[in-house]
Amino acid sequence: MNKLPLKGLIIIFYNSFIKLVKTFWFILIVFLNGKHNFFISVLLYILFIIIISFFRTALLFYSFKYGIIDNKFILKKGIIKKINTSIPLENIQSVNIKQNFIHRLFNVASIEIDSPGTSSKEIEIPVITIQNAEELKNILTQNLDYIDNQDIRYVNENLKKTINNDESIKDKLFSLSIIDLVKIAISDNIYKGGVIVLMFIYGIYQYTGDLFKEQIDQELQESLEFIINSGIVVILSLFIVITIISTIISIINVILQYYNFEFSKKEQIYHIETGLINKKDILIPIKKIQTFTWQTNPIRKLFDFLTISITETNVDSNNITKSIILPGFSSDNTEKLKENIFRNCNNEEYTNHPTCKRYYNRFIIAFILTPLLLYFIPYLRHQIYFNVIFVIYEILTAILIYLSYRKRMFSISENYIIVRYGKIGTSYILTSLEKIQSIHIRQSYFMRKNSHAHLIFNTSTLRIKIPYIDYESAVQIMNYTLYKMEK
Amino acid sequence: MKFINDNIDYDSLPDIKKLDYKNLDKNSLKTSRIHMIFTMFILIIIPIVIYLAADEFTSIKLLLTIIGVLIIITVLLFLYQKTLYENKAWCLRDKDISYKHGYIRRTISTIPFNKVQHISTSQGLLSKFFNLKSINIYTAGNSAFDLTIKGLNNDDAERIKEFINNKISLNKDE
Repeated sequence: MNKLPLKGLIIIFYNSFIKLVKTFWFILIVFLNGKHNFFISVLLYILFIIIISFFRTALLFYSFKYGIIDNKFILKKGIIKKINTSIPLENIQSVNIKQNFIHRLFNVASIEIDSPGTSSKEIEIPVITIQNAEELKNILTQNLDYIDNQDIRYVNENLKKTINNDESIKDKLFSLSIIDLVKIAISDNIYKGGVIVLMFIYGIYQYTGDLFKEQIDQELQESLEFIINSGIVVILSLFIVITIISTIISIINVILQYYNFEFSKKEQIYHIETGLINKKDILIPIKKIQTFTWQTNPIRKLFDFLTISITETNVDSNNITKSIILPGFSSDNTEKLKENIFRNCNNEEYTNHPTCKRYYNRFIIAFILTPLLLYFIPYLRHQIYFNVIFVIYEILTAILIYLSYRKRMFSISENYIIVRYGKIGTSYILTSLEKIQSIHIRQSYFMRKNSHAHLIFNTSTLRIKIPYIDYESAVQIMNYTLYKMEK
Repeated sequence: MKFINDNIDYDSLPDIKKLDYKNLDKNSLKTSRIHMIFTMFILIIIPIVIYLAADEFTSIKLLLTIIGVLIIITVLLFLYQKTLYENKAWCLRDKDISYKHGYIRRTISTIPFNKVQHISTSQGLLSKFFNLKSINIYTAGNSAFDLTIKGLNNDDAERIKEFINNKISLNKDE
């Protein structure tokens, strides 16, 4: 097992000093509120931090050990809280050598080891001599499988070169015209754009508010009074204006994002090019795709297209799952793409499991029955506006809960699961049983009494929850899925 | 429920319900109780400090009610820890590890070894005193989904870690 070099003491001390100054800022406030004057308070604070960092450094330095034993990278640290990590070398995804300013001063480096499922901070050697760092990197990266484990960005660069050099091998599958883009924009949730504008205006109001507060308030007051007094016509026209503005914003947004959208395939890798100003170039190896989601809504149905989003195994070091959105696919194309990613998924026979009605009781209690308590407030009870809005609210919520009950469905076949959900629109998530990482059965006390359970599948990107199904079938599905995963 | 187009016999699949679960180390009940009492102690101290520090806020009745309620909660939580302890259990099978926990909301989690990316053990000060270790099992992707088993005794934790590590390397070799 290797230990840290002696120079490390200074660097760890520096790092923990900086970190502690950031975490314990509130103690400075305590000191400043004390009896002493400003400089002595700050001095006390710094002394306090120095003492703590001193202990931290000593503990970390003397307990830090790392090495490679039996094809596993092992890292031990901590005296008060002992942490002992071991990673099989095959699982290491990338090794980064980093040097910040203080490292350069002492001619050392730090090394970060990425493996899927760890936060980057966990496996970091804070100080290592440059020679050792290079050696360690060579040992750790020698058995990286090119496509599977190599840092995807590096692979991307290489692939981009080959693809761009060789247009002929590219198999163009799909592209979007301007008319398609407009259709996409209309079928999107256009009010999202409108809300952003309203927030923007509100932001400006907040910002300039201090300067022109009185004028703006007066104007607002007047216009509000005008709106209320002139009744439904104005409200309706306001609604139309907002709709038009939102639509325009939505169209601009979609064009900026998806202008010249091109979806092609080269061997086993999908290639997406898109964007007007910021050109995006995305490469997705088919093997890495974890889940496949497609969404429709009534307007999209009218235009006959769907929006697809796919997730791939996390390659970002900061553990954020990004889904890649592919808009405007016709249902034919969707089927083809699905078939391409998950082989034979359309031809297998699925058994369907509807969600138990009881699951929706909690929504009825939370969103329909609990608001009725407002009627205990006498002031509200006598307001006409309140009554009208309340009745509309109750009816709408009831409809939405009913719709989401109707849409919820879960199907499983030999190799795949599909979850359907939604309210007005409908979404489907498809994934293969082999891509699932872990399974959970969850039951509340009441669910145990009436023998139902939630079933939760974790893929490496998404958590797929199947709420409130019969306990026996949940267990059976879990047994079967485990059998599939372990095969 | 039937899976058409498949030849395996569903009754012959190993059943997750019939696992031979093992409870955690008895000392883990003590550590969780100590943790709980420590937290509650701080919660009880806060109103006392406020009472002593603030001049206007001098209703001793209110203070005593708050402390009384907190002490009742502490006693209930103290008793509840026992139920929680009895409901925590783990089980190793040839190809996967399962862990169940919770009483009001019970979760049974299972991770097959061939999905495990790596595994680590950790030990706090209190658990060191009681010879306990916790074990973290990481799968690919989002770390929110990982499995942590707290309160195993030292030997068990190391044995599980060794067992799973061997399984991982075996899987990779194939």
